[in-house]
Amino acid sequence: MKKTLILLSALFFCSCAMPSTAVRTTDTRPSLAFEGAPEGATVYLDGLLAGEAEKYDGQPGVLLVEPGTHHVVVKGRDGAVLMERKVYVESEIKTIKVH
Amino acid sequence: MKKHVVLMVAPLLLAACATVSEKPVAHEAPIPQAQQVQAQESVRMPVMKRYKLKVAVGRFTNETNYGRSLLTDAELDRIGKQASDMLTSRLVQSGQFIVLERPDLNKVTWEQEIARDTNLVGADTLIIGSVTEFGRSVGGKVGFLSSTKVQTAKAKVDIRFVDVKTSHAYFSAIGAGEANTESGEVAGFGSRAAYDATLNDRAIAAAISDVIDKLVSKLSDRKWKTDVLEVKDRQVFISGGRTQGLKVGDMLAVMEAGDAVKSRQTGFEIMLPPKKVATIRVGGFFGETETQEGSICEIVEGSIPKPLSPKLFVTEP
Repeated sequence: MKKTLILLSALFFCSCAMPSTAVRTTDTRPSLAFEGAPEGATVYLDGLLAGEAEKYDGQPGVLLVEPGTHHVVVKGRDGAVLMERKVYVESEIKTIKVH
Repeated sequence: MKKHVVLMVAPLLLAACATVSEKPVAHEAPIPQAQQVQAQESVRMPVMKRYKLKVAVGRFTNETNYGRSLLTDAELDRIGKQASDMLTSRLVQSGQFIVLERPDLNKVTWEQEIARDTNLVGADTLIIGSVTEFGRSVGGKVGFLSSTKVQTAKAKVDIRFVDVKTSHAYFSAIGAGEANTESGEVAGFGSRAAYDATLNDRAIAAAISDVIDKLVSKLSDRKWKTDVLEVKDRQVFISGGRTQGLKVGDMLAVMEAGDAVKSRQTGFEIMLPPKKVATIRVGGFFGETETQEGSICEIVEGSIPKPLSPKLFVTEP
């Protein structure tokens, strides 16, 4: 019984020290953050509604997007366009200032 | 009394703690990814008629003192080649330019010699630039029983667009990027991070993305203009189609360019005003890719004399 216990505990400790290797692809999609957007402002990404700008203010929320060029529009609560521009992102976080 | 002192001292101690900055939390947009990709593709189609600049990277080097001592190549510029590759691939990815290969052109011509098929095209614009600022720093904060350490790599790139015909540098942009790793501990517990070598590459990549963003957002499209390929009776074949914003039914003007006169004031050539020779209507398109596409038009007014003059061009009326 004692021998079995010693053997099992030795095996247990051996397994703890086993090296592990993992190979995986990583998601390197870029993100957009909107700084200074007023309350209730909404974000349109390539013509599609992506949600409220407040959610993606970079503190800490950011909007994950596909790499490449995007047409980004931020509209106020009344539908007025606050910011409209083409944005290029690759794998980083881009902060867009909304005035 | 003791309770009051504790209550006063505790917030002071907490305020004196050095804390790690909040990590950004990425949220997926409430739109399926396939729909996002489709929307991204559709906004690439121009609203107005325009054509893409044919660009080639003329020189993109590392002009900083960083990375010039170890592991350099024959031209002593390892970072420059890496940055040049990043710039070229991002120019292609932006979808806003027709990018022509220049840094590895000898490999392309080698393949063309094997295939015995050459069709090299010249660029309108050369992109010239360099990595102008690059370096690393280690900083951090020390608080009550706590500390943080921030490793930062910063990079700046400068580029300019040069007109191949006149050598006029007509647009310039500067991009800056930063990458950091922050670790912190409180009373000996917390996170640790040793030297992160990938920060250098990430900072350069971010600076190049920033400069491409400036190109995409600020470099205005040129006034649309194309050439006449062939005229058969009342049919006119012109370069450019849907990807340049042309639509069936569009009315276009065929113009004959004026003479080029050299200005004594600036030294540049100035084209005298063109003369309209015909009006054509777009009836259909041909060609598969954006570099192969063309439009089939019909003459509505005027005539186009044959043989075709090299001075002829097509523009919006």
